[in-house]
Amino acid sequence: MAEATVIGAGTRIRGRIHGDGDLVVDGFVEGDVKVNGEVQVGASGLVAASIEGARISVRGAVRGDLSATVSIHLEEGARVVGAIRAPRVSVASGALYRGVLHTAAPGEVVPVIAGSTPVQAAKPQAAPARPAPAVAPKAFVAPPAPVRPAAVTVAVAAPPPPPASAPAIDDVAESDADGENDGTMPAMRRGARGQVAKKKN
Amino acid sequence: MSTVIAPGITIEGEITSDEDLQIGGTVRGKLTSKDAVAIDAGAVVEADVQASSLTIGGHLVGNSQVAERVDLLAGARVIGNVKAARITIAEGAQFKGNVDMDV
Repeated sequence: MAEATVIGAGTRIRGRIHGDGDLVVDGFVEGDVKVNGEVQVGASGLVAASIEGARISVRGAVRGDLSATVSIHLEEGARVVGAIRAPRVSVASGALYRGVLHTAAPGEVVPVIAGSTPVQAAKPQAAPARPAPAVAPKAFVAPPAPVRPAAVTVAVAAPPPPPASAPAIDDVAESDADGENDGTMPAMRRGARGQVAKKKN
Repeated sequence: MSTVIAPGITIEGEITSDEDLQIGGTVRGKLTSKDAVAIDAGAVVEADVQASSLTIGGHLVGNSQVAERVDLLAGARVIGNVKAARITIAEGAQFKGNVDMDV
């Protein structure tokens, strides 16, 4: 594409953006983004939805999952809450990130994020006798003291500390993916993560 | 910097802007700008449009309400009602709908 799509700083979009080409977001997008080119979220950009692209670089704010086939870069000034999945990921000093991060070897197929939350594979450590469900229902099963899988959990540059009232099994990366502590069960919040796009920033 | 929707990109939903919009791709839904909107040749807009001015070289299906002027270029294809203070229609433009110029 000779020409990139630019969502300027004075523009708000509520809805889906998809297609061929590159995308620069300096404005506000509330709705899923799926393009096969490069996605740049500028310093003034705000995306409250998931983003899929070949390369994603973020200098602004994203509340939603990022999935790229090539690479994801969180630049200085980026604020991202959500899962990240790409073969190559970089997080610059000064970027704020909270979420589950998955990288893969080059060429390895990176599965699509949707519905593949790795925490669901964790078995309850405290109750080994109880058989873990083969497929954990999304919203209601909250295994006591879940063991974190090997997924890397990153909290770069000191995000705000979790409130003292947070339950012991609370997991910052997962249960706070929607950016608020509303007292619901972690698993419920996990199930609600797909709805972050509806929240205002 | 103004907003550009390049060819190949589709937006389904609502676009609200304080600045220029240039559309070369596809937009479905609703489009509101306080500034000028240009629908380039090859673009497809299936939306109600509000703008200060509107230039159409591509396809527009939907009603448009424009504060100043609407220009239909040759090659434009418009289906819908147009409400504007001034309208120009170039030879070769296709148009089907009502025109309301506040006569």
